[in-house]
Order: sequence, then structure tokens, then C-alpha cells
Amino acid sequence: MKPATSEPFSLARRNPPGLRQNLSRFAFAVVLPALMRLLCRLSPVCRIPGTNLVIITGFDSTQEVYSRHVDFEVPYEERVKILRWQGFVLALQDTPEYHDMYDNISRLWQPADTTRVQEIARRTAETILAETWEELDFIQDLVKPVLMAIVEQHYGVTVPDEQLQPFFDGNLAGSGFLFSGPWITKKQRETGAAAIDGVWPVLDAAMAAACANPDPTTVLGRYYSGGPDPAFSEAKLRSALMTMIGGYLPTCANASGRIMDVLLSRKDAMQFMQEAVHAKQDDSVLTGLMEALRVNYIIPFLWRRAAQDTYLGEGTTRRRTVRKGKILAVSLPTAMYDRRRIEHPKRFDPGRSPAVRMVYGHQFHHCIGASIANTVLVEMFKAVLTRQPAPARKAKNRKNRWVGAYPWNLWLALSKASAAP
Amino acid sequence: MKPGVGEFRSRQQPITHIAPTRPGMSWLAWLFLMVLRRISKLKMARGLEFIHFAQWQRVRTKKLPRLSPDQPAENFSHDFFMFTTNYNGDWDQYIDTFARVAHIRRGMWWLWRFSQGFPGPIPLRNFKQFIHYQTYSEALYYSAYPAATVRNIAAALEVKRELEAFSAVRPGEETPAAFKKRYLGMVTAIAPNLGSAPGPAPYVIATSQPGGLPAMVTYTRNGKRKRKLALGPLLGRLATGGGGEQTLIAAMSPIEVKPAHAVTKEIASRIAAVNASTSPSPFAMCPMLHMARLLIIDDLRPKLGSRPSASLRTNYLLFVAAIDGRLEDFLDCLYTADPDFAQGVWGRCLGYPEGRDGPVYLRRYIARSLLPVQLPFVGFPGHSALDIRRALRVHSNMLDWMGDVHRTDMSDAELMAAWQGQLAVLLAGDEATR
Repeated sequence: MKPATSEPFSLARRNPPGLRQNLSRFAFAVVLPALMRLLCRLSPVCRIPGTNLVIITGFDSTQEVYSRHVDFEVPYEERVKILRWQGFVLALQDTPEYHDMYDNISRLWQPADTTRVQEIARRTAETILAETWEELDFIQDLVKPVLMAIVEQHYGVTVPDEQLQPFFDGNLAGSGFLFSGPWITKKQRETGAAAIDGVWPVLDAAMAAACANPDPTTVLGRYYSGGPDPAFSEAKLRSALMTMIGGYLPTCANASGRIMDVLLSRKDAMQFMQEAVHAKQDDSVLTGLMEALRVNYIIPFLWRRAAQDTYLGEGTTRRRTVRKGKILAVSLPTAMYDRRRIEHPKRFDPGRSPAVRMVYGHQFHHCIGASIANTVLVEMFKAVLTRQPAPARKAKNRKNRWVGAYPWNLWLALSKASAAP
Repeated sequence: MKPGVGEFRSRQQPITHIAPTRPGMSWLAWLFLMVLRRISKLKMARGLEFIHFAQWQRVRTKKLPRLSPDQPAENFSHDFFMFTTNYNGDWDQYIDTFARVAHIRRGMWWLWRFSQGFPGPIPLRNFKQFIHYQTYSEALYYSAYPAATVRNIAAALEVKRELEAFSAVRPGEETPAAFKKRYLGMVTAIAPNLGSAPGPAPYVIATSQPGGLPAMVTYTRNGKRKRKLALGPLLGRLATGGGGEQTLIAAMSPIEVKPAHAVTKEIASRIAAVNASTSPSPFAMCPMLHMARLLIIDDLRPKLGSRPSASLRTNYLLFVAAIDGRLEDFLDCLYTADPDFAQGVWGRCLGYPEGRDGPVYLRRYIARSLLPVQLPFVGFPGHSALDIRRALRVHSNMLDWMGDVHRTDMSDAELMAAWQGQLAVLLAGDEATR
């Protein structure tokens, strides 16, 4: 059913539970990974005949594509236009504009901010868990409030209650639209535009409020209390703010659900994480989280476009020609399962080399917000893992649910108090 | 005095010996090494207790890595026999052992009998001259535990094992008297090993792995903890050899076609800068690395006293290393630790993708430069570099305990309390706890 235009954007309403959702989930969670892994074994660089598509599934080929960002550019210009999101760093080529925007974001994000974000995440998570007795919807009741607390308290973007759901859903849908592939259907275009309509007004209102009354403890307040900066205009601030929030909210929400999915389904992973939390080893917790993300990555493909006639396989004797304009579908999750590089890829092994985990990308377009994402994930999981999470016992009434690629409801049974594993 | 090793601040000395094989004997040498690998555990080398690593390999001159169309083929009429090792002590003593101990002498005779100019282990003067003449100078030598000899390591591993077994009993499970009885038993058991301590460390070695923790504990699917000593099995290619869970590699990368020498000089100065630097070498950032060496080979020497039948047309960079687990993991770690070093050394070599930076290119390049290792020897199979360093640390902690805390006039209860108070420090093998 097509939603009425007057209704606020809701991802859950646009993707109602049912056979179609289940089939879609099965196709993306089971069929596609299996096909890609088969392709990785047979042909890690596979040109699909009769199409403009080259599927990259090998670990080395993936790193090669990412390391050659001039030859293989990001193809997100049109989608960025639909989202009215100029200056999104992941969608920019290696141009002065990219470096300008990168510098601007780096100026907004200061090293001490990690501590502040850590405090907000910890405080919010612990408060929620203190008020939770037996069962908890991990995504809606913990992840979402923690992520939104950081948006409000750290970035200084206050989201009114009635706009909270459209804002959160809009960010998720916008991100999904941006990375969903090279071909845009009419429905996707409408969804993307509708999604972003719930986001920009909130950001604009927050900027106006911060301009009128800047709070120097927030990112927005810092910008406005510093006085006007001709090199960093408000238009650029708007884009940088969207990059930080729109890049962080959907990926952290998606990653949290997938990590928890891995922990609940693998006893060894859960045991490792609980021991790491108990030993207060944040580095080990983070390593475990990254390993879980390697096992269950957030996105099936990232896209690149060949900027010129070139070939893949530099430094080897086997070269694969790639013509200008070809679209490269780089399957990062499959690359992180490539048996040529990764031993026992299905195994949860936090001791494996960190170099095989490309969860934040590789080289040029490496995620700019990796440190904040790491901090938030570690704090959330530390808090919840002290409560011995397990699949909810009342699950017959409270079904776990996925909306598109996003984990939406993930019910956990928690112990009554924190206990040593 | 062996040439070219004095500059390394280490109690270990490397030897890289490359001798021409006798005409028609190259394949026999290969066959001999392969058979020896199958049938022998090289107990004689282990029994010497001063060899950390060694590898013997036949180097086919026709198969030297040609990684660029600009690189000419080499035109030697014979192959070479390469022996690389690192040992403790004096070079003369080391070579003396080869000649004077009967079963070692027989082994050496067999290993080198396929080499031109091998005079046999006796007379010793000729043998030393043979070794000396065909030995190449290392431009860089790195050891993960430079202060430790083989005997130190064996002693430290034994002390650590005893201590871990001793401390497995939880506090409160025994009386002070029973504790002291067990304690005296443990001390008696480790006493012979406590005397074998490393000398002062020539330099500090960093242990952290960039981008992650050097976790050595893994978990099986059923949730049981297991000790993981290496990150993976040996590379299944003939290009590498291994004993236990370590991998020995030798990679020969072409630098530039002679007579050009500019790039070779630049690489040599880049390596020399790392050697001379007081900051930790990029190799020190790779916790899976036991030892590494780099040599610049500008020519291969003929038989002593004869004119060369041919000379190398290309300068080469020889890289020899002993690592835990997979070569790819080590190369990724090295690249992450110091991309400029990797780019400045291998990135300048012939055939390296021009203008490309990223660990994938280093992995691919080294993979194409590998020389097959036919006969590897590992002094401590199954013990990772981190394990060895931790054991050395525990050994040192135990010496401190015996010297500073342990007193014969302590009552049983005092001893037990003091031990339990110090246990965490004693078993702390991380260098960060120093």
C-alpha cells in the first residue's frame, strides 16, 4: 500500500512484514552470500556478459579497486542529487572539494569528542538497562535511543518527539537508497526523496537554534560560537552535519543488529565477548565486534565505476580488462570470506590478523567516522553484555524483524543484574 | 671475524651463504634436500642448541624472479646453493662445530658436497675460507628477541611452563605448608633453568600490532578456550618451507638492471636508515616475526679462485624471514606499520606496480619473488615469537622474585601470601608491564 504523502516517513510501514519481506530477507541473507562465495571461488573478478557490470568478490581485487580510487571512482552523484546532499565525502572523487569537506569534518570532530561520546553512550545505555527487567528490543529500545542521544547531546541536533521516527527512518532509508546500486527505479527515487524530507528540516531547525543560542559543548554550538568562517560556510556545515549524522546513524544501527545476531547465534563469539567485557578489555571488545561484523557485514555491495579503460590484477600475471564506464559491484562481505586470504573465514576468530577486516572500507574512502562508531558500539555492547543477553523466551509474541537490510526488532532476554560470566 | 655482522646489536649472528652448485649436481642437491626434509627432523641441528633458524635451498638461476619485461634473463651455467641461518656466539666457534663434531661434519659434508669449491670440513682453514668467501653481508638484520640465546629461550619456556602449572592451583585450595612443599618442588625443578638468563636487551622491542591486539587466544565453536600458537597453517606452497607452525621464506626481488646502480643505492640507504635509527624498526611492529634480514645482492661469487663464468645482470634484494602463521598477515602488518619503508624498499624494485600504494601490491610482489625453500629448520617449533618473548619476560620476573622477595627465613604463610601477591606480576609476560 502506497503511503499517503501527508503521513510522516516510516520505513516499517513501507516494508510491512509478510511473505515478500521474508523472501527478500532469505534472498539477501542466504542466497546472495552463497552465490557470491561461489563466484569468489570461481572468478573473483567476474564480468557479467551482456551487461555493464563487473562483480568483484576476491579479497585482493577488492583492495586493488579501493586503492585505485582515481581509476575506479564512486558513482553516487545522481543519488546524492536526489537526496539534496551535496558534499557527501563518500560520494566525492579525489578533488579539492573532497579534501575541503574532509578537512571541515575533521575540524568539527575533535579528538576529545571521543570521550564525550563515550560518556553519553555509556550513560544512556546504562540508564536504559537499569530500567529494563527481563526483555528488551535491542534495536528499538537500546540502539536507537543511544544513537539519538549522541545526535542530540553531542551534535546539538534536537529532534522533537513527533519527528523522531521520520528522522531516524529517513536517515536509514536515505543511506539504503544511496548505496543500493547503480540503477535507480522510480519507486526508489520517490522513497529516497520522501526519506530525506524527514531529515533536512530537523537539521535546518537545529542549525537555526544553535545559531541563535550556541551551546559550546555541542558540535553545532562550537561552530556558531566560533564566529563566521568564510572558508567554512553554513552550506558546508549543513552538508558536513548530514555526512556525520547520515553516515553514522544507519551504519551503527545496522552494525549493532548484525553483531548481536552473530553473538546470539554463536556461543564462542558470545563467550569471547563476555569474557572481554568482564576483563574490562575494551580493545578486545572492539576486536570481537569487528570480527562479528566481518562475519555478518552490513551491506552486500559497494559500487564503483571505471573512469577509464584499465585492468585489474596489477602486480600479477593475470590481468582482467575493465572498460571505461563499467560498473563494479564490490562485494565486501564476500571478500572478507575469501579463502585465498582468510583462513577458516566462517569461524569467529578474534585472533586473526586485523588486516583482513575491511569493515570500514580500505584506503581512500576509509570511513571518516570510524572512531565514533567504534566508541558507540563498544559502550553499547559493554552495557548489554553485562546482562547476559540471550534470545528472548517470549519470542512467540515478540518476533525479531528485519526491514529491508536493517535489523528492526531484536528481542533479548536479560539477566536481572550484571554478573560475571 | 665474520664480515658484515658486527653492526647488529644482537646476541644472534646471521649467515647468508650462497655457493655455486657443481655442474649437473643442481637437481641432486634439490633431491637430497627434499629427501632430507621428508626423513629427518634435523635433530643434530637442534642438539647443537645455538641455531634459531636455518634454511637450505637450491636457487635456480634460470628461475630467478623476472618481474619486469625489461629485466634480462640470467645466463649462469650453474645454479646456486643457499644456506641461511642465525646462531649464537662466535663465528669461528660455529664453524668449528661443523668440522669438529663427527656427525655434524658428516651432515655438512653431505649438504655442501654439491657445491663447487667445497673443500670438506677438514682441513678447517680451507673450510672457513670457503664459508667466508661465499658469505654475503646483510644490510639489515632483525630479531624479535635479540638478547636471548637458544638455551635462554629453552630455559625460559621451561620456567614458564613450570610456573603456569604451579599457579594452576587456586588460592585457598591448600594449606601454607602444602603450598611450601609444592613451591620448593617447583623451585627445585626450575633452578637449573634460572641460571640461563639473557643478557641486557640491546634495544627495546615494541610488541603492539598496529590496528589490533595481538590476541593469541581463540575460541572453538563449542566455546572451549584453546591456546592458539599461530595464526594459521603453513603456506602450502613449495615456495616456502616450515617446521612446526612457523614459516620460513626467502624472496629475491630484482632491483634494477646493471650497470645502473642509483636505485640500489637508494634502497641501501633506506635500509641503512632503519638500521641506524633509534626508533623501533618496522619489523618490530610485527608481533608474528621472529627474524628478518635484507641483503642487496649485486653479484654472485664463483668458486673460490676461479674466474666468473657469468655475472648477475640485475641487482637483487634478498629478503629472508621466519614468521608465525601466514605470510600475507605478516606483509599486511609490515605495510601498516611503515608504508613508507615498504614503498621505499620493495616499491622501488623492478616490476612493482608503479605509483601504487597498498598492502595488496606488496603481497603480490613478494609472492612473485619467493624462492622455494627445500629444507627448513626451526629451533622452537610451535612457539610463536610472542610466546618466546613472554616466556623470557616471565623468566626475568622469576629471577627478580628469587633475588628480591624470596627469603629462606619466611614462614609458610608469609611465603604463600607473598607469592599470591606477586603472582600477577610474575606471570605478566607483556612487555608493557616492564
